Amino acid sequence: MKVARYIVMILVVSSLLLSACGGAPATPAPEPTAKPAAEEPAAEEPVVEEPAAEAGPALSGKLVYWALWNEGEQEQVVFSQIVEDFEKAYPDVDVEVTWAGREVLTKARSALMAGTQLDLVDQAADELNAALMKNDLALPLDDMLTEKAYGEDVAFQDVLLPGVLDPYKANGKVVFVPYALYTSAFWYDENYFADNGLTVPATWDELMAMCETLKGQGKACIAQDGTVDFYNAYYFYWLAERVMGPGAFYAAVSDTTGQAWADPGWLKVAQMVQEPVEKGYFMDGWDGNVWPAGQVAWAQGEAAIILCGSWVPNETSKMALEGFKYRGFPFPEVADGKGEITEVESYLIGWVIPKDAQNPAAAREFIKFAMQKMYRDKHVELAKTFSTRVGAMAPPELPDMGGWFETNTQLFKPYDGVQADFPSWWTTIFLPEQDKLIKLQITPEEFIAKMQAETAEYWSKPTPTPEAVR
Amino acid sequence: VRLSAQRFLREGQMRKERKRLIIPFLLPAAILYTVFFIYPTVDALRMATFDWSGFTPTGDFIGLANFQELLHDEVYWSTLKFTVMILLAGGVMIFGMAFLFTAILSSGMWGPFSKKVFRAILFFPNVVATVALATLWAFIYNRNFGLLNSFFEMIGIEKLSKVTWTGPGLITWAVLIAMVWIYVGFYLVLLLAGVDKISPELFDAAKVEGANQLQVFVNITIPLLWDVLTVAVVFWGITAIKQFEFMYAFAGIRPPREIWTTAVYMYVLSFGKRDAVFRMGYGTAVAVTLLILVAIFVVVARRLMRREVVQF
Repeated sequence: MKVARYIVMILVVSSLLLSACGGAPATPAPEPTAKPAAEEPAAEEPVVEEPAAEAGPALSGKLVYWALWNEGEQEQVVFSQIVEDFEKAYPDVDVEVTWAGREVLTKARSALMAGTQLDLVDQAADELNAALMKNDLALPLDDMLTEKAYGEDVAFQDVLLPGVLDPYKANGKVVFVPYALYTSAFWYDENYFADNGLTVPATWDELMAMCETLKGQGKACIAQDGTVDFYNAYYFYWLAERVMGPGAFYAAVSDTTGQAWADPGWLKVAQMVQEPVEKGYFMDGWDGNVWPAGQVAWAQGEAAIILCGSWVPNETSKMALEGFKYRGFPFPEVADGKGEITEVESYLIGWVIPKDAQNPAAAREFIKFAMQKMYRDKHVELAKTFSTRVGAMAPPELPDMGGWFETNTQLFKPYDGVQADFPSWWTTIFLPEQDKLIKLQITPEEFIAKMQAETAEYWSKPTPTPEAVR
Repeated sequence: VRLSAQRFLREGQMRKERKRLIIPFLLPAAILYTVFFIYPTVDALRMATFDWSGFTPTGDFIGLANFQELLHDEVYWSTLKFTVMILLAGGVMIFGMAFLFTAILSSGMWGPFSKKVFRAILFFPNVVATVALATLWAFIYNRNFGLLNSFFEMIGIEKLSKVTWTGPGLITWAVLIAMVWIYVGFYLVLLLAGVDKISPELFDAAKVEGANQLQVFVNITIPLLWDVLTVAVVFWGITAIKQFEFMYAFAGIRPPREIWTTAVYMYVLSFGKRDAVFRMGYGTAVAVTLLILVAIFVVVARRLMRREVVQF
């Protein structure tokens, strides 16, 4: 009887525990590129212009669109208006939009598995890549590129900035249409720099010298939310770009022997990651800053600069010092480094039409409709981000970023594409170790040895198949 | 004899009818439980043997490879270490405090009203959403404007007012303390309910015999609470091993690595989010190990806490 009691008890407990695996997560998601939710402009009238009055193709039926934006976010305000206008332009199409938030792909997974209608979904390119593109679940859109843009006499591909369709092709076909563009860089307050007589550093040495000056004055140089591992990873990744050049990080991870990490350049990168920490240039308590404490401290003038995504001006706009003038500068060049300051990261957010979409024609038309200049301008204005649309306005809060893209000599994916193509390696091998590196818990030599061994181990596993070749 | 035989037959008939009634009453619950709990559990065991992203109808069968990989997965072991730390260190702190408060509240020094008020105050965190509590504690620990550092500054302990409570090494203890604050009230209510069921005559008799408060608590309260305590410990084990929400909500966009529990790791592997790992099969294997951990804990805890039943 006792055994039976144990079995029943274990069964009940296990059921409760394991059944949680199959269900949708109950916890609200953290917001990766989140804008502060529910800012007042929800009440603001978004787009006032009339949509282009052009008779499009005959479309009908239901169009199911799951968006990554939450109700009340600025982007949601813009897309609500687009949906409304689209339904006016195509009265026979009923757009059923779900503001799914950042967990949109987790929810989409259940929908796709259950055969529920889903015609259009948007999210950051890396996540769409891992979820849909790699699994051959995205609809090719190449023929759409040569069709006319909505209300314009040019091909649709010509209203997109050059090169934005290339990084995330699947089997050589375009499956992802980006509409928003971000990057990462150092951000600062122009007034703070002026008041402290600082100039924008163009090299790593100049950056270190600037920090030394501030330290001498008893001021913190660098703000950082040190409990966020992927923010800490910006230092290793950007130094890798500047020391080893774009593509080198990706190549090192791709090397199945792990020997690529033996290149002395990687040791130099690891040593440079620790340099500003060892010299005390990070703000006090940075390694315990729970997001958004670090970026708030920066916006409050408690540190001079922060290395973060271009969403940080938007995220901190409500809490910044009065008169805070957002400026940015690219990650500086490193002496004898292979990377150049004109090489820029492009972080894209856009749409994918699932392969089994039930109304792909309407979804394609919606994409073209939403890429009209007036909608993109409104998106830029409200969300303070760049658009991938040719001729769209630039956000005044990011006065420098447009120039970086205009003069860029090379664009690369966030984290050199490693996060997108090797997410397991990224999450279970690299992120924990780089966190220890930047927090001075291991030496650069130990870090490199670990990368060598773990990368070889990662590729040596017969199963499961590493992501890059899945 | 005939009457007895008739009564026997009638009772037998009634028993049969009662049995027939049990089935329709139990069936809906049994079906729902099977479909929504037993089936997912069994299916999870199957899923753990696949290399599967969760986005396609089927994955590749890989046998026990996911479990083999777990053996060498450093992140898994570090999360398991923290989970066990919550289970053991958190358990000791929670039950230690719950016992302390139980001893104080059941000592007779407090009137029924004061006892209820105190119990309600301690239970209060349980009626607030964990996500809200996690956010609250993140603010309490904030180095620059947090309640804790501000308090130390106010009372003039300058050194403590500059501590980064969420920094490396301290964050695990910071989270444990927050969890003790959340859960101690729940277990206190359980234990006090058990104490309320003990006959007051026993306490009175002990006092007449000259026993002090400590002796009463150790020799009467605890032995008579033992069954309740066993259930409470098992319940804590399950709660501790599946800890997820607090850690996930504690740090906004990303739980700090040091406070990843195994359940958080399972979520990251299965549902990806920023990292887009999407390894549903591997994540399910992690969940299966949690099941095994719970099973081991339940068996060990019940064996260690087995005592002769004390009746009163």
